[in-house]
Amino acid sequence: MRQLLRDWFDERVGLDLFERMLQKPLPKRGAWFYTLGSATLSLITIQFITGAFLMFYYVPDGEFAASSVRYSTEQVRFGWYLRSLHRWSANLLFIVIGLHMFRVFVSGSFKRPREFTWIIGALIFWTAIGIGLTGGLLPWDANALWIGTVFGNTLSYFPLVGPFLRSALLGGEHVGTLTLTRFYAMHVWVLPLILGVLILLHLYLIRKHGLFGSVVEYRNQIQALEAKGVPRESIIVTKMTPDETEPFYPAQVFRDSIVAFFLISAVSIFSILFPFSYRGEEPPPARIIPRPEWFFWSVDEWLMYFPGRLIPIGLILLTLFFLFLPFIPFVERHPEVSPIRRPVPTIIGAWVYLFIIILAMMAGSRIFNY
Amino acid sequence: MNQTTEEPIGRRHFLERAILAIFGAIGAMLTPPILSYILSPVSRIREDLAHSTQWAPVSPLSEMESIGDLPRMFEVPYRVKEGWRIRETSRQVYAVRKGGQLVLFSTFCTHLGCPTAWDESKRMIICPCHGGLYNNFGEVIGGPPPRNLAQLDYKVENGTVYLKDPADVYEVGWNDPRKRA
Amino acid sequence: MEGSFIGSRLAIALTASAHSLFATFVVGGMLLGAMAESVGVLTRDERYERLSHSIARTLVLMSATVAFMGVALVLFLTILWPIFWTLLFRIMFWPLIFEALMFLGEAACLYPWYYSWGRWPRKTHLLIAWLGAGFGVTAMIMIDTVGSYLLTPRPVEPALQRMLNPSMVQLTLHRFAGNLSWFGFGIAALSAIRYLRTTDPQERAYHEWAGAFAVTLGFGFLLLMPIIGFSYLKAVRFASEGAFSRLMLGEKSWIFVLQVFLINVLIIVGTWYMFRMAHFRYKENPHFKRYRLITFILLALAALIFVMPYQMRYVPFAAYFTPAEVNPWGKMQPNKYIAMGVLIGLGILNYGFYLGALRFKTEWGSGGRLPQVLLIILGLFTLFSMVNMGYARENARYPYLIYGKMTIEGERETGLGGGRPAPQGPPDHKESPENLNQPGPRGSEGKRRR
Repeated sequence: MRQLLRDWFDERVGLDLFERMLQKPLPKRGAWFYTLGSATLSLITIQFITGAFLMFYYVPDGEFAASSVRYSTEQVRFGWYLRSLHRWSANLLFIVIGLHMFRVFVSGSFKRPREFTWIIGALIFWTAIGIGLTGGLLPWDANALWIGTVFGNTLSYFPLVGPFLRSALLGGEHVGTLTLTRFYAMHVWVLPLILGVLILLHLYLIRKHGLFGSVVEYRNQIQALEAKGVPRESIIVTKMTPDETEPFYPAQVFRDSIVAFFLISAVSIFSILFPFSYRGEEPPPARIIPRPEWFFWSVDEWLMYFPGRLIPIGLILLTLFFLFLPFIPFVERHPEVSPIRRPVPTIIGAWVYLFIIILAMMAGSRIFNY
Repeated sequence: MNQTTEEPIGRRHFLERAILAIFGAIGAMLTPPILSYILSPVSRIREDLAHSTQWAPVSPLSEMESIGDLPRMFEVPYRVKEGWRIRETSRQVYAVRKGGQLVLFSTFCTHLGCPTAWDESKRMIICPCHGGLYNNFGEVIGGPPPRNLAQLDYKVENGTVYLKDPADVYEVGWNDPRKRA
Repeated sequence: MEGSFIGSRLAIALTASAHSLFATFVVGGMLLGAMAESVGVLTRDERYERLSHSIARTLVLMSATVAFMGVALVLFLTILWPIFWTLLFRIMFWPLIFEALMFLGEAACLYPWYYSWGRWPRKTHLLIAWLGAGFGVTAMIMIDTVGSYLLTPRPVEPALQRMLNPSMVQLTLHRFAGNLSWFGFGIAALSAIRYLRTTDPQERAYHEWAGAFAVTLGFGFLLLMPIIGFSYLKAVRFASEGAFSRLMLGEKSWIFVLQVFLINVLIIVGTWYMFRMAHFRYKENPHFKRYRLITFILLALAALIFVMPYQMRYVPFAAYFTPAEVNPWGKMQPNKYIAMGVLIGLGILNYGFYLGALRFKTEWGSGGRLPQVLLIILGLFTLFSMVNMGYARENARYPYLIYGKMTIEGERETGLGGGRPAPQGPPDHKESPENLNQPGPRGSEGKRRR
């Protein structure tokens, strides 16, 4: 019966394609680290689901946005739960993306021929940041308003084009009705659409090269290098025999499911224990202290170091850092993948992460105490 | 796909170019309208400002008499035009007497536009975002702000102080954007 | 008014700075030792093994001193500053107790780590090392809550506020990076001395390598220090304005001029060392010499701008050279920021080149004496700057013992000044902190940071 059903579908939709994809081999060792990517995907899925249902009650209008959020949080059954799920999984998402990027960087998984997987991953990271940024404005409380203002004003420090960028983003001179609708459109449709396309491309490339890809594909290259007289010591990659690998399905899928289960349970538990309530009555204007989302803390702290005329320098350095991310595979081109055998990139990567964490911690202390 | 050898190469070349041209044309038809659709509010900034409140009442002059050289904050309600809507909103201004002269200046930090507040115990105007510090006259004494808090124009009419162009809130940067040509 | 306190202040100053010098060395050493051993396991390079073993020996020798100094410090505080100590201990009871426990834990890991070398299974051994490092860092965090509370206190309740007071995180990060930097340069200096004292080429190779490895950490964390320090001072300014003014603009501003001088020396000498060590790799590059020249010119220029004092009158002996009270060139904002940026930026660049070169260095022990002398200079100046910073931090809150809460006068009642009647005044110390900071609204002479 099952076989019959399978054949019926196979004839019409071509199941063998998917089956072949599921059978791709990948290394047994360190397989738990490979679950970070699928963990990202499962959190993004949560975002798509909860986000879609949050739209049932949300009104993107300067007058009603706050009231509608309040209504959906306080009156709608499980509204608080959906909203907290959305925000908590957004918070966790950034941690998981950061870990995933670090894992990929350290294990050299972006090396030839997988440069495009990394590039698209970097684009996904940009898009996720954009979604986080635009989403911060939607609750439309006092804090959201100032987030928009500060973001717009930051852009205005770009030389020459700054003021134009600012008003193009905000849809005018200040954060108002037009800002909310365009941020809303970006948050719920434009950027998620881009994100979806990018994720599909990312998955396609992963399946094309396979997690096992590196070694198989490098073998020819290593032989070519050896023929040229390059010392083997400096080009060696981990050798992997078939008995060190296993097919993606079911072992890795099982691991992915375990991780997804734990992550989503964690998000649910956080949502139940620490729900995001509506902020309640707004404080008098003089007491408002704008607080960025924590994943922008390090950026916030970084911008603080550049006073007066130096502000654009800080901003440009920051932009260059983000623009640099997709180009990493073209900067570090040698085929070595082991983090121990290429200590310089490992050390630099560790420094960058350490620096970002330090900045975020200092900003957090500042924000906690002011 | 089988490469049909008898097909002249020129035709294939032409078709490829034609496909490119067709999609280019489709793109050209869609892109400029969408871009200018998105950027439309930018070109209407001046117009919107002109339809917003020009002079907003701050407070009766008699209330300002008692102000010394410590800034006092006033809430200024005004109307602002945002595209299709005219919205009621408000902003804060500081009023202080500097050399016998009443001065109004903005509460928006010139660094990134956060709302500042006068801290009585530290005797400074403090920006909570990035720690910009100003003295009682809104002059920078520390932190990242590139210039002093923006001085605002005002007029006195019938014993009431009016603030000029309250809807113009773009005040960051080391040049006052208000003074743009 | 300080007269009768000189002795007790001196006693505390000496024990506290000795204690903190050794304690930071131990915390940094635990971390670096664990790190070196782990790298050794991963790379199977025996030099890391030897390095971590010798680090462990150094730490075992030192931790007794730390404990002694700590006990002496507590003893002196109890005897000489009873009121202050009672108050502080009441506020910070749990952190202090926890700190002592963590130190116990660290020692309890350190000894087995050293004495079980080569006997225990490798994984257990590494676990012990990292556990000890974790205990050490936790102890440091605990003592930082106390230390930062003295300068930037918050309301005592709730506990979270007093623990996470405005400068706590910055101080912790500053000390964390500082400990590693200090230990890196310290161990580099020690191995430089060993290098200079031996003639055995194999020993020389090892010691030169150990110095180079230690510098990768020492210099790397040194580059973070000004950035964290900047944020730290900002937090202090926000929470305890008077202390900041005293330290950065007032009579103690010479300390920071001195500190900037030390930072300059550290960065320039460090760069010099890195150029020496990386020379073998880049000497064939036609641009290398020009790049080196430009680097040093830029560094020297930046250092000169960075070290320029603003308040000439507070710099000791400056009166012999110039009658000016403030630097006629002013505070040079933002030139000093740019100078600092140049120092750090070039530091990062050269650090990258250094790492890139070290990876290919195979011949060790033939570097000559000069790099080793540079390492000793680095170690000494790091020591000097640690003491200087400790002095700055503890002097910033004068005349308070706990900023805004308790003054030295408050100690006089039963302290060494013992037996005197409790003073009624002077009122300016008993009143609220803003009285001390600035009498009126801030002037408009455009005071800017530093």
